[in-house]
Amino acid sequence: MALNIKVNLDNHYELQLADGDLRYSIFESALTNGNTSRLGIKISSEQHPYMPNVHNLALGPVNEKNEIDDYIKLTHQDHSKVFSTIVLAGFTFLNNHKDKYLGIDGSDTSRAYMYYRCIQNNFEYLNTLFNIFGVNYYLRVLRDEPGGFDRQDVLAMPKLIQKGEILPPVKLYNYFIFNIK
Amino acid sequence: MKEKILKEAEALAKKAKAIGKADFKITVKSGETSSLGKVITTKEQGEFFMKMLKALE
Repeated sequence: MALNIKVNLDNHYELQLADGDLRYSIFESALTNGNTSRLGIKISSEQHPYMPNVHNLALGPVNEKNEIDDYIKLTHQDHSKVFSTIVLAGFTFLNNHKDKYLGIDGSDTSRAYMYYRCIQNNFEYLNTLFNIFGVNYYLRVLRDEPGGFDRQDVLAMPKLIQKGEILPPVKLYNYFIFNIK
Repeated sequence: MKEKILKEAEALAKKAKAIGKADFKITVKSGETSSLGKVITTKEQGEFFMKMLKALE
């Protein structure tokens, strides 16, 4: 897992834009085995009925069916360059859609930890460009007994991420949100 | 620094405008709905969440 990521928008791969609304872009990343991987960034176009301005950003290698595999783990030669390219794509989208928010899923602990470390290690840089939020999900407690939770009754609570904030892996945010400053 | 990034973002946006609407669709293997999208299931939840988010800006 890449943790020592240095975001620097002067060091990014060339983004090939695939649509006028800046929602799809593709770039080639060099892998440690000498191959390259064609990575796609997709900013969701579907509007959530109750959060129409929050859009999910997905990333991963694109196959011949134009499908992003966001589960796969790749060993990039330059993780910093990969993340800087993603940040540039996100910034470009948000700069053109100033009322919108971009979200990234910390779908598992290792991914959430990688995103969180990346945010913390680059906090001063990123904080000049974005407001950065972490979101936690809380379950409704019914009774103090086994199974005493209502998994359908969840509260999503955003928080502005602070520089140097220390969280144990188990308590990492479920979701990360960015909007332009 | 921000000025330089803004210039680059604006140049990319200009380039993108010339491309127009994509004539293909990219899908995401894990699905199109984020975990947050799955958690917010009512209008009240959505309004509360957006209110909290805006208050923090």
